[in-house]
Amino acid sequence: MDIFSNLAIGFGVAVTAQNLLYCFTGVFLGTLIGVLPGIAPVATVAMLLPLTFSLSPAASLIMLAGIYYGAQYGGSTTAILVNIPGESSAVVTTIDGHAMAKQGRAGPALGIAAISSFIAGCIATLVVALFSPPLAEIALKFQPADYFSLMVFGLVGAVVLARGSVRKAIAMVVLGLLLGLVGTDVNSGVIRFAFGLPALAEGISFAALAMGMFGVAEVIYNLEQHAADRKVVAVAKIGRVMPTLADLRQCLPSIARGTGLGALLGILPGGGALLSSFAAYTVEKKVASAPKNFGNGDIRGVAAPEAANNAGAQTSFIPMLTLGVPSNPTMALMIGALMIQGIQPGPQAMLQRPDLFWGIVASMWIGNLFLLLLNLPLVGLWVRLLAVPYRLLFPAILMFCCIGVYSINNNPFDLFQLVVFSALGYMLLKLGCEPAPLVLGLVLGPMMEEYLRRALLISLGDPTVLITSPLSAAFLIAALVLLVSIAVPAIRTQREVAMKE
Amino acid sequence: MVLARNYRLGTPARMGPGFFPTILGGLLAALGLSLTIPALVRDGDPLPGFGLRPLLAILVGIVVFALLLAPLGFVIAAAALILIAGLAEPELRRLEQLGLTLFLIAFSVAIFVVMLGLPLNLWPNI
Repeated sequence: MDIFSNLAIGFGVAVTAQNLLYCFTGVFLGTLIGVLPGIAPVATVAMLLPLTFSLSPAASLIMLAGIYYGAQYGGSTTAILVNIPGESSAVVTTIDGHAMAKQGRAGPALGIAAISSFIAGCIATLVVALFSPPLAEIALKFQPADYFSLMVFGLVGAVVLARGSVRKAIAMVVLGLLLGLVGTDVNSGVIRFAFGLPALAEGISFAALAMGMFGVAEVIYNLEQHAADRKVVAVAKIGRVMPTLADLRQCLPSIARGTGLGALLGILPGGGALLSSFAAYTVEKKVASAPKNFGNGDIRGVAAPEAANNAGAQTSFIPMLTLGVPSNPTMALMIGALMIQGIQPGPQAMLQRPDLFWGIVASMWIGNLFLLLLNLPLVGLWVRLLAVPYRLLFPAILMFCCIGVYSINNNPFDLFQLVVFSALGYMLLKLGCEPAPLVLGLVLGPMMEEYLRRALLISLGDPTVLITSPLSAAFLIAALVLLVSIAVPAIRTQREVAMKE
Repeated sequence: MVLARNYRLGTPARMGPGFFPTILGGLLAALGLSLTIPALVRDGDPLPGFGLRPLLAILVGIVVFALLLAPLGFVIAAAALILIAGLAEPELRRLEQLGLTLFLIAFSVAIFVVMLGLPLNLWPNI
């Protein structure tokens, strides 16, 4: 089957009244979340998981995906207008975006952000459509050993690209892997690490962990910060939204570069929107002519990262859909959503359920169109949302988290898990440990164990199979290279610090 | 850096057979240890202060919600959750909070129970 007939299937799935509605709901909620600082898209996806139980797998993925890339759009709005990134990937947009707003060019900044996101989204959707099928074909030939090593590579990537200390990130992955092993062992039926609690036999509630870490812990953290600085938000005047033709012409190369970079980085494990936008801004600063304008309201400084974060958000679906390996916590949650629906994402699912895969691809494009329509004319409405005080917002977040966690199993015990993980998440935030690698570890833990076990079963207990299989060896080497590359500068800076003392 | 890493070592005794899980668990525990010891030895910045008020208010709120949900139903449990969690905010505004509570309960009941049909008990079971 060629790509066009596949896309036709996809649009057939996506363009039903029902799925269009879910797609719209998704991007709408995503924009909302993106605009409101203090709620991360991961937490939103986690909170809305229970909403998707009654939906078909395709509809639920379409909606969750919409939330994710919708948030990339929304985040830029607050970044430009009030200098607060609504979402972490919009941090770089504040630099030039807010500078433009101060010069009275907030309108064009918002316009170019939306336009470049749209262009990037369209191209990234094509990339997903073109590259996923061959990748899935390759993935079907993977042996268990290859899979195991691929996951090692994925986790190392997540560690390397995480902010902050590498060692902490590794520790978080390990902790996540361990937590993933809680519950009944698939092969032997033995219940592990359950502390005699029958409710833990089915493993740790993934939703409880994600909501605790990303939802409740953030709320606690924010409340604390808020007491410290409670500033009145000054909103810049928006004015004309459409950028001029000259602006557009100036931006096109930046958009193209941003898209390419974002699409590439999105595929990498641990990549996605955040890294893409930072990288795009840095590259743009080096490549573009008259770089000294950057930081003082250069429109290209808005276009490139906005294009990149949107492209990255979309291509990060590729490893999730084709390999079943999540590249960031949001993708991990989507895998969770699919598994609740009884679908194990990966090459099998992709080839057996083309409607699902192509439906999502098609919905991405439609979602981008919705976003353009939602954002350009309605900017004023979104901005007004910023006036909602946090003291009204946080009880709502808490309540949705509680309902969400409870309704997955209708078990109050899951709420106690939520409490435990909220406390843990808060501690980790305080200690500067990122919860993202932990969540990836949690999802991959059982899978890695399973693949390792199978690999060793096939090789009759010979661990060298991990090195003798060429693909597996390649992944392991790549992981090693990544680790070393990050370790070297780390050693260097540590030495420098030591020298100074 | 960080000193308080000890909880990571708390791997409980591995239960039952399962050869590979044991190896894997042991490996992971060893890795955790090797990460912890340097962190303990190194000098570090003092731990940042913990804001107890929001932490306690919110966690207690969720616990109470969990305890009340089954016997007293969603409406009462949710009200308790919002009111207790509201204590995290120093500038308490009674009236506003009451309105918010009513609104949120009505909103969640409408979406989750009426529209999505989640099996939640709304009122006390007698």
